[in-house]
Amino acid sequence: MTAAGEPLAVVGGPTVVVDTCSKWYGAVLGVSDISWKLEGGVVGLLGPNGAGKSTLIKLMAGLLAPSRGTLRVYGADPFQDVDVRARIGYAPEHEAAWDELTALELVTTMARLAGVPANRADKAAKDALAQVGMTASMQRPVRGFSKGMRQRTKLATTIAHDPDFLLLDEPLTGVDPMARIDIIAQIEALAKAGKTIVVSSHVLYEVEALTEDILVMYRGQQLASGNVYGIRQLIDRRPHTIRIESPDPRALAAMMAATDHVARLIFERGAVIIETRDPDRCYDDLSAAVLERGIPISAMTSPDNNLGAVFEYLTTDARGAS
Amino acid sequence: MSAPAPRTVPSAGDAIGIMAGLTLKRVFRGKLVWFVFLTAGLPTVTALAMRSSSAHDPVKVATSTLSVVQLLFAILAPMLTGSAVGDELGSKTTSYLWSRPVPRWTILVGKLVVLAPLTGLLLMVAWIASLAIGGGLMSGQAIAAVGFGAMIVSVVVAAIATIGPKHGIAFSLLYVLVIDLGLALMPGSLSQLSLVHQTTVLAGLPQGSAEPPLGSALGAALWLVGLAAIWLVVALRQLRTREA
Repeated sequence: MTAAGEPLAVVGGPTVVVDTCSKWYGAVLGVSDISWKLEGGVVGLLGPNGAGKSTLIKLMAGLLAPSRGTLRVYGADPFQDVDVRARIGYAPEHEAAWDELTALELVTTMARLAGVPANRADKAAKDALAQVGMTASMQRPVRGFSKGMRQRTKLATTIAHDPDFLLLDEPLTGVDPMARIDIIAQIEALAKAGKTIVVSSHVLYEVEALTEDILVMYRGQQLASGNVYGIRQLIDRRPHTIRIESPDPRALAAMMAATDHVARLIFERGAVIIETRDPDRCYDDLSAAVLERGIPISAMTSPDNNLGAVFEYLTTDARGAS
Repeated sequence: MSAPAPRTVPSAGDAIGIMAGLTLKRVFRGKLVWFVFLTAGLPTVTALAMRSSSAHDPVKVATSTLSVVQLLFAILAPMLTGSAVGDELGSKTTSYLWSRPVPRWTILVGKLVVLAPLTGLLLMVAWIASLAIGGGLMSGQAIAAVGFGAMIVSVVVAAIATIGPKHGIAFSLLYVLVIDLGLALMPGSLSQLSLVHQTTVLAGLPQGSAEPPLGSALGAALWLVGLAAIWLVVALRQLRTREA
């Protein structure tokens, strides 16, 4: 351990190396046999609820110790090595905070505990809060904050000490559209500044908005890793569901039934649900229905954003293929 | 990619100071503090009741109010320290603290350096007020013993809350009210294990037939320090391996 107050040596090499790492909570599996290397950049940790994303993030943050295998951050064990945590910024999934404190007090305290000297902590906290758009509310107690404000404040506690490696557990969950745009912009700015960032989410399009590199987890296991578009192609092999509201759903259905990518049509009052094997072509055909045939469409949604169902399909698909 | 900036970690002293500041702010901005202050008035109420009785005895006032103060050990220490330590560990805010580059023991000690003296000071003031109002025997040694005993109880309560954080207040209340007071009533060497008993001995007040309690003040102080040390070692070991 480095003497307190002295600068820590910064060494090169990968940010994270996970080697056959497993974590159990008693009899409950958190993650199983994960091997993964993170060199840098922004990586999306994608998976449905209970996939083990938060467990992996907590292992990297030093909050959990692996039950088996090893996990290194900048070459050190973050559970045992206190010093390496100075380079990590961790934003938990939960919203719990010390509600009695103002946002400025909270961020200042966390910055000081992360090693920012007392004479610089106030400025560092104010800068961090400004970056996340919380300057106007920084003197208010956290107690009265909305979900979006809490997420912003949490992000400020994560960046105030200028860490090299950020772990953001579901940072976009439940936030309003404005906060969502701001947080995505902030993460992009941090990535441009050369930070290594791991962002978890159970929503594919959230991860897609942030990065092309993803690690897909399901039931504690590493299902796939790599480019998001490759994963997207895998996911797109599952019939994609689109719900279209229209005053004339039967005309729309008649047109779509003539195509070869539609697997199923389900009628509802004033709407038709289309299951398609080729979402891109389906969206093109729907555009054509409106523009060329004049079939009115009032709303279009894709309710099939349940990654659990998609991953269940993928694992079943993989078993069937083998 | 730019070269990462050199990092510093806070010293243990800094971390303790920061945690102490955080704890102090939370205590005085929380609602619990009102309950604590109201409860601390109980010895004064007892003293007032005794003052109005016909046979006024300063020693009796002191011993009776001391009993009430000792009962307050069992209530206020769990309310202040048990909740501050247990709630933190039981809730999710621990993840903020444990992901920082500070040893975990500094977080516990940072809370204790505020909460233990606060509990001790509060009970000393409460007792002094009750003695002044009730006309009880004031003894510097006894007042110091109350402060010291309350601080030791706070340490023990913090340790219990570390071991069982989800029920920190309940476990520490159970320990001090049932086990510790039960041990105090036991004959012989078992009573030596009681914090309340050792505080009474340390106070050095005459009991009943004006006979001073058995055992020396120094011995009682050592027992209290020893008991607190054992609990603290257990808590720190628990804290080292606990996961968030």
